[in-house]
Amino acid sequence: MTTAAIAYSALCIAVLGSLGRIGRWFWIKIGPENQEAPSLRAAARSFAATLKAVSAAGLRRPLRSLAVDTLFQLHILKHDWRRWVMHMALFYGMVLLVVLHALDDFTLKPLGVDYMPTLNPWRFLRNLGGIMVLTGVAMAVWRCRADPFRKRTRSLADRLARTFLAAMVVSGILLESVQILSPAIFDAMVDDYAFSDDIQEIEALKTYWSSSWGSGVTAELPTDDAQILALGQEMHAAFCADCHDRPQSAFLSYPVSRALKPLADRLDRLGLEGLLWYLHFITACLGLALLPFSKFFHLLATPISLMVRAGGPAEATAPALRSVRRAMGLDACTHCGVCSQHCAVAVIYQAIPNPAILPSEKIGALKRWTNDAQSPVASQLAEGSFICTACGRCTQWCPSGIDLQDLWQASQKDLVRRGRGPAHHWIRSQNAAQWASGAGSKPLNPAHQAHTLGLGDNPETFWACVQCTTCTNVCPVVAVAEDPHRDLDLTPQQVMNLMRLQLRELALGARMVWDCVTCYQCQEHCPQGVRVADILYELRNEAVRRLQPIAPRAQGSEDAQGEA
Amino acid sequence: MAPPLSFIQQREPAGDGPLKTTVLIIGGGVTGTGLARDLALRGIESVVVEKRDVNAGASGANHGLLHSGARYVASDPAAAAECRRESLRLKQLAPHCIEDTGGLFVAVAGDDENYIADFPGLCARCGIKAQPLDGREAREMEPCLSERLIAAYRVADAAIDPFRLALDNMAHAVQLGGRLLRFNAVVGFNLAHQRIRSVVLRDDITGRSQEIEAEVVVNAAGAWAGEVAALAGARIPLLYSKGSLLVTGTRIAQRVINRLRHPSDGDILVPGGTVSILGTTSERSASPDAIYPEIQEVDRIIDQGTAMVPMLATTRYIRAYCGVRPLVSCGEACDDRSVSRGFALIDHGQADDNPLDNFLTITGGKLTTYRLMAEKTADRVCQRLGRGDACRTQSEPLPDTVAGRWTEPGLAPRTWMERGNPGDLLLCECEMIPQAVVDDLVRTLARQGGAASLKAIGLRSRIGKGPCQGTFCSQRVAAYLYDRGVWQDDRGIDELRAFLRERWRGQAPLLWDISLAQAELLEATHCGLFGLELDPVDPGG
Amino acid sequence: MAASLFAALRGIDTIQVGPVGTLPFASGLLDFIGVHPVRTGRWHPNPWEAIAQLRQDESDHPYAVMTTREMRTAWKQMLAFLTDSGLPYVAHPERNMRMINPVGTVKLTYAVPRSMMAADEALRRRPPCLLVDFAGLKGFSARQIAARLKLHWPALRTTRLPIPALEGELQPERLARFLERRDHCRELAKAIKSRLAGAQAVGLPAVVGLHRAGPHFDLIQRRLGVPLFEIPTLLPSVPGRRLLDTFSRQLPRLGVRTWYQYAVKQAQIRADGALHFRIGSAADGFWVQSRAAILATGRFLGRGLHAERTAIRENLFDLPVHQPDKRGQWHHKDLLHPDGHAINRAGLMVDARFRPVDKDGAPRHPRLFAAGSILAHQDWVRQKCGSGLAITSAYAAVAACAQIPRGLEGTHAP
Repeated sequence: MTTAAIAYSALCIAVLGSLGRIGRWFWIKIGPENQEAPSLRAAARSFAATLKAVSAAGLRRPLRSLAVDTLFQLHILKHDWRRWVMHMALFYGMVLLVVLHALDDFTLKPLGVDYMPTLNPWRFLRNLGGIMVLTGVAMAVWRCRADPFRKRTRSLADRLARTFLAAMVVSGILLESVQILSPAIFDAMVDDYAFSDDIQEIEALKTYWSSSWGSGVTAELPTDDAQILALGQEMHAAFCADCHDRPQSAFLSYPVSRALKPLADRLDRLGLEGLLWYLHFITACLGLALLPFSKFFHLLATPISLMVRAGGPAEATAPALRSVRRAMGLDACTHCGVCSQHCAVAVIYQAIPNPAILPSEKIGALKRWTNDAQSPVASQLAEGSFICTACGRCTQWCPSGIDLQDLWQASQKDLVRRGRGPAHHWIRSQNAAQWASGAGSKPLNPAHQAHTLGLGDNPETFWACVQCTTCTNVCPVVAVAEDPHRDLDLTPQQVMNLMRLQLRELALGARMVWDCVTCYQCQEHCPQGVRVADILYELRNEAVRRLQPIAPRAQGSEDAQGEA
Repeated sequence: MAPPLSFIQQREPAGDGPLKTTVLIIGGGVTGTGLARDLALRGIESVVVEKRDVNAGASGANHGLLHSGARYVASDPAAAAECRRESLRLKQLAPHCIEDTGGLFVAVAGDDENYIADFPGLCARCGIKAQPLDGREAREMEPCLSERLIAAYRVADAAIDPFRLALDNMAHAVQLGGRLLRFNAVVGFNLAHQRIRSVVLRDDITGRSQEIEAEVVVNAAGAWAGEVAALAGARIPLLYSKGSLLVTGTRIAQRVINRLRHPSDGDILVPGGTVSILGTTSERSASPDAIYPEIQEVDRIIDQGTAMVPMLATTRYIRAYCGVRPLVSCGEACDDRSVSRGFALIDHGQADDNPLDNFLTITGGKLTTYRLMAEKTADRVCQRLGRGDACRTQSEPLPDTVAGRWTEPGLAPRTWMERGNPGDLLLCECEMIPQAVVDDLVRTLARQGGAASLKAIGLRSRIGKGPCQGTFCSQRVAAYLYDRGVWQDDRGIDELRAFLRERWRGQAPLLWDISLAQAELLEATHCGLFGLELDPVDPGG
Repeated sequence: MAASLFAALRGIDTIQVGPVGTLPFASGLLDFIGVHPVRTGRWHPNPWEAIAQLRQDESDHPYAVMTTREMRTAWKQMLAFLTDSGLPYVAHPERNMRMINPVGTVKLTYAVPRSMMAADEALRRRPPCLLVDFAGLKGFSARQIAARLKLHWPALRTTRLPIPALEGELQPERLARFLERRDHCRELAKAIKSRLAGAQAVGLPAVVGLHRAGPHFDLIQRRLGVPLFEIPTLLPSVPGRRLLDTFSRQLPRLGVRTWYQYAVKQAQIRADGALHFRIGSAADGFWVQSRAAILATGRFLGRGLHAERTAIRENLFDLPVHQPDKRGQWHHKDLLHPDGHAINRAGLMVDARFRPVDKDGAPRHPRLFAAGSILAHQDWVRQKCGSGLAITSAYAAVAACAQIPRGLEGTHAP
């Protein structure tokens, strides 16, 4: 009764949680479309739009996707057969275990087949499922260890999921092996099913089981006595054979039980069988309950995502559906890391240790930022997002069919709107003087300058300047400005002079610094060899470092024009 | 637009008859303007007459150093103690004129060990705090310092802007009823019955003369005090000690750095906003006029300064300038530095020959003790007048007027950027001074009844003070002033010549390396292209 | 630049190395000689007379080493080159031309861009004339120029034109680029024309175009129907830029290898007498061996010479520099002293073939020449002979160089 309550509770949690998460797809908004505040009405509209889009797309392609991508996972096989093996082992191992074992009361028994957990092929299939899952987990662990790239990015969620699977299977194997071995169970079974009071017969059955069926009972009769064994076999045929096949078919549990045989009595005294049963049961229930809250949710999200994806690229879909697809995409990610393997800018991660550069990690950061806009992950996400070159390979490779490129483009716009755009966006939100008043206009202490390597910190950089204005004169950015002071704040020469006057705060936020196209005309024409362009470049880096923390953040959607 | 400067409500001298005032102060340096304020606060009316412009003498040609007093502990303990008291007081009363940088006294290998050993004791005796530092600490505070330090002390020196100080003093005095006449030179005194009946002034711009009658005349003409007194037949034994200083292109240290030794040449480096000022020398000069910073002085200052701060050997210098300290003589044998830097207040009524009852001279002293000098002088004036309240400058804060502000480095670019007016072009790129500032100064000068000369604009702003030293800004400002109708006819040529010549005085001794290249560009532009050194050609030929 | 040109014209395989130096600071006017003797402070209307007198007074002067024929040829070739390259220059063979300055003074110079030519005529005839300036062009005020010239030229008027498409500061080059477009020139002509009011000449700052300066200038002049002239602006100026562009565009076509982005970092005279130059940056560079070399490295701004606190040095070969004994003698206390500053006459002493000589008068190297402002015994600023000196001494140095028997051409050495 209690176990049933636990199981059904877990099921409820799993169902409600999944519904909740699916509901969120319609609730959260990623991207520029439909920027009103989240509301039930808006969610309902999204849902309706989704239904409409899905029904309009017809069922043929989504079903084909379900078959090809979910059942056979051909999309994985296409680029990495080892990964396919791993994933297929995990997936079908679990399917076997769930269908034939966990849900046997609902699958096999109602079908009226000749079902007993201790009969073949069920026993064999259970062990097969077990070994598949274990193989899959082992491959996953090995892949993670062996690949330095994955090693750096593996997450707690990954490990948790693997641990759960392994715990579930291992506890099952141990349970089965203990059951095979246990003298107490044997005795209880004999009491229940062997209708004989003849001690000799019972002893013979024991001897027969001990010698051929792996039971851990201590037989008092010699096992090499053919007569006794024949009697035992007779007994077995009469009372046991209907429900018991040879345990050797449990090719995982049986060897374990052999190994444990010397301890058989002790294990019984410890009540290990009961313990293992609960362990196995609880891990299974926990796994079920955690389904919507862990990586396992991709079991649902990924096939749905794949099916929806089959409807066509994001741009082609209705705006309301686009946002839903993005939210779905966040859940569909299995953190497999394929996107990061193919990412055009992944190498930058070696120089800038910000995991949000990698798409596989960026999606996690985006998930957290979507949940909490004030999350400290925001700046990491912003940096990572704008390093992306939009090459589109992540979308191309994603086995879960997430349109990552679309997700990035949408989230970039969100970042910009909330004042977390790339530097050239937020730097324009204020002019140089406003930045300066925020940065504090105290001159930098030259005491610190002596220790920095920056060109701009070294007074000698500007000594040679004879104020001829050549740098400004040859600057193509100045030349095309309608009004240099208004459009650029400062001309190159003025930036140099502010630096010389140690008023770099005033120069830091100048749009000239950001509009510089690094054509190096200024530097090449400078008759005195002042490294004008290099200094501008250096300032740009410094501005990102120093001004980003004080950049004003737009709070609501009314500032949505900020991205212009 | 900037608010108008407040102290310039200058009335034209009344047409006929002499102008009358209670006290006439001759000299618009920091002492004269300080005295005008002191008197005004005591309810006594005064007029300041200045033959050139505010701080034209030594008041404007010094380090801008607010002494903690530590420099004088050995040579003049009394002056040291005065400095300590006055610098503390000024830091409280005029904080806007002061950057409280703190200071270091450092000695390098080879410096006089006895002096170093005595220094802490001498400081303690004068009540001056000198906190010992080890070489590493000192170099951490000021990385520019030499690695060969053998001793370092931390003292309470500060940097003070003497222009702002004088202009604010004057502005306050004017608010309280005082007046300033610029470009009015004293050319004579009318004496009667052992008194000065009136003082004759000549306006150097209009050439007109006028007389002023005053109950008491105070001669605060600094280095020119002797010449002024001589006009009244009084004799003051003054020595002239010329001091030259160098301005670096960038600020080298955050604190005042003094050499820990007997005061000598090139042993103080004072920060001044975005630059540093290195000095000084002490050279006997025959007259307070026609003085130049000489090349050998420049070289000596650099050689000496380099011992403390090695980068002074290679840094770019922007300009050199010099001023004359008036020292009240103690006879021919004295070394100038041992002559008291304390001030002298001379009451000519007590002179043996040719006494003048209503004539006082205040001269000598230091920038740091200007207020005390003004106080003591005002006390004597009140005594002569038989009225006047007690001194209030000891406790009354100096109001922060806008009068001195464009001399502050970095203020013009900051204001320009904050206003963000696209049409407001920068006329001086080096120091980033826009048209609006020039407009402001032109209005100020017009209200003062003076002409908007390039030199006057330069004095009140940082125009011409940057690395180009007038190469570009002079012509840009000239063109602008023509456009605004401020200048007419061929005045511009003379203005450019006068301005560039003035700038050249400070450049000439520093022309090597990049400065020389800059000067080459200056000459190529103004002589090569504009032909300013030549007689103009009649356009017809 | 001039030396490269003359070398190329003589068919000498030439490499020109080094940043463009002080050419951007050129005003566009090519002086020959304007003032002699310096002390008198008076302009000389006839350059050839001035040269003749100069040869008598200053036998050390580089002009005294050249023949009149060489000078005339040099000028002829230079002006022809510029004109053929689309930057027409004009000179009156026997007299200096009058030009107007932004400060309102009149300057005498030898050759001017054709776009400035009409100023000479206008200054002589003084017809009703309109001076135009632009709102936003700093340091150039028509009122300032007119205020002074009006004393002798009452029919001078001024006007200020806004350029609606360009706001704020008008850097000269920005304006010149703007006027690279024909429609902008037409609009400008229209705006000026509406303010002519009987003016028979128009002056405006030298900003009419960069590469298409000639045709655009003609266009505006044609539309105005009266003579038009450009007035030099503050430096660096657009006419200087036009010169620079013309040289850097045309010299490669004449076969000169122009390596402006490189600099000579080191020069060596090897034991066998070969001249070797390390070219490139401090970290990496390559060596070039050349048969002969001409130092046209300029003075302090051009970095041919370097002044330390105590002495002046030549930067590449450390050649002896003729200079005053002490720094105290370098400059006068008065910037505008009529004698000029002694340091301006410091420089390289050369023999009759423009080879720098050691103290004993012997050339340092038989195939090392010098030309231009680096030469000693001249004060180009005060004598107003900068361009003329550059052009004629470059010609003379190249001529001397060309007399060397051929054989060894410039080769790259690893």
